[in-house]
Amino acid sequence: MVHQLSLFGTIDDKSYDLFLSTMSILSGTPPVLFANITNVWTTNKSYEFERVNSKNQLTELNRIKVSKSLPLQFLIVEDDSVLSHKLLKKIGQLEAPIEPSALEKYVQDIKYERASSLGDDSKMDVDASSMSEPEAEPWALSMSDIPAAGKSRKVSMQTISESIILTTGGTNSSTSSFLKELGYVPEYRYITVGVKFYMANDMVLDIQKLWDLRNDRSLQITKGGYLIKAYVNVNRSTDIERINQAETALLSLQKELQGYVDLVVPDRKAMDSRLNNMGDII
Amino acid sequence: MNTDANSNSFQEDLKPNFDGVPSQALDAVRMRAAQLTHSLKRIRDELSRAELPQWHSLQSQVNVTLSQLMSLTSTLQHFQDTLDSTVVFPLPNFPTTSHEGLLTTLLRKKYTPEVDEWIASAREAADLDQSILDPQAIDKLLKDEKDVTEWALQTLVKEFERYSSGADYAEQNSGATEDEQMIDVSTVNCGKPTKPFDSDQILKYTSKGEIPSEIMHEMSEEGSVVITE
Repeated sequence: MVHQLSLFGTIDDKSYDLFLSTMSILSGTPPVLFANITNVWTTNKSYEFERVNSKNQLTELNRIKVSKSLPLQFLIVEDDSVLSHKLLKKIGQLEAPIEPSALEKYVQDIKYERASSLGDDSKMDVDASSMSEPEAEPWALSMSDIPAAGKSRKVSMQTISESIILTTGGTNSSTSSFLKELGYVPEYRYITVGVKFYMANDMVLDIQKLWDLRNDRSLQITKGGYLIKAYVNVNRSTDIERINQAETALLSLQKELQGYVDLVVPDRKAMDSRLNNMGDII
Repeated sequence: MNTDANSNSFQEDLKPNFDGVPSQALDAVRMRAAQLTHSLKRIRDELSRAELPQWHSLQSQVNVTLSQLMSLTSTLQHFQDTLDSTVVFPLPNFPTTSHEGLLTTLLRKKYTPEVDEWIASAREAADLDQSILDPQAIDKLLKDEKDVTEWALQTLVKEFERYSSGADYAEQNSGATEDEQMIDVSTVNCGKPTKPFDSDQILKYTSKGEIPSEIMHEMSEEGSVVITE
């Protein structure tokens, strides 16, 4: 369970270079390139879910995010270019950051023979045997709550539960089969490519682009710009001192960038990953 | 009356010769010492306040004080020969009774005990054992120390320049020519970035899978995607 404090902003494609220079001078650290793939699972509509738990309390259905980092060599790279922040600028113009065939190949590389019988979704399997392969990164499973309410909030505050799946037990087991047994089906998947700045006070600044992967083709969601996310993770929600410190750090960054890039608190409903098919109860 | 007049005339007769007084050297030292004591007093006052001043104002004050100290030492070094060979003596008409304290201070040749203590502690801090080392060895040690300090200073300046010019960041462009490393102003927006989209829309996508309507619209115009609700 982690408490995440965040602020968001956007810049257009042309401002990328200047913003990166600004941030590297401001933070004193070089940008770090990263790429992630995220699968989002939703509840299986053919099941009927009980909305109360054993204590007869109302419960909410929530999407599950299963993500892992994508090896950078799978990104579309021109032969002569280096894996650096410049790369993001190049692939930022493309409709897909990674060739569908390359993704398929990468996904198949970590697929096991016994899992192939489970169908397409079993591509995201992990188990002990895959851990021996160097490029096989573990999947992380996370669920997030709707950000804390309140009009006077200066930063967005959200609780996220996350665990790293190192192994699955039983015969023929896999993460996807486990999620299916739980009543979940895959909904959508996306790739995030961006650069990170590690700043003082445990603050991280992401500058990222998103691509939706659907029906074997990809679509850039962040067309013409980049999403900026500044966040601090606090381990315990009871650690008021750390939370206050993190909030101060975020606000000072916001103040520092004021007039250049405006970091704002997003609409909390936009960050709500619950399934609102209850309609009237939100 | 007479005797008074006599003594007066005696004192007036004795025209002291001030030519030998190194007034230029003394004045220079006095001015710098006054500046230094003033700054030191200010720092001491600021530090004794209940609320500490901002670190940057304190730092700049210390910097000023250090440069004043430097200028005092360099002035003293500059006039070292003159000052070393100057001897102080009182004139006959000096009011000895009323200004005894000043007189003894001026005529004192030994260091005061506290100054002796400072010198002893400085020697101890320098880690020099004078009973063992001869003056030449001490000189050599001091020179070595100066060399190390100089090296450290140069390295610091070099690293600082590297940092402020963003060389660490530019290093990632290894292989790129100088021109490529520079930001191409013609293609780069050097003004305020525009907002190409609303961050809420992107967050809505990541948390709910709702593709922003504009992008969806573009797609359907291309006819490449059939939207089925």
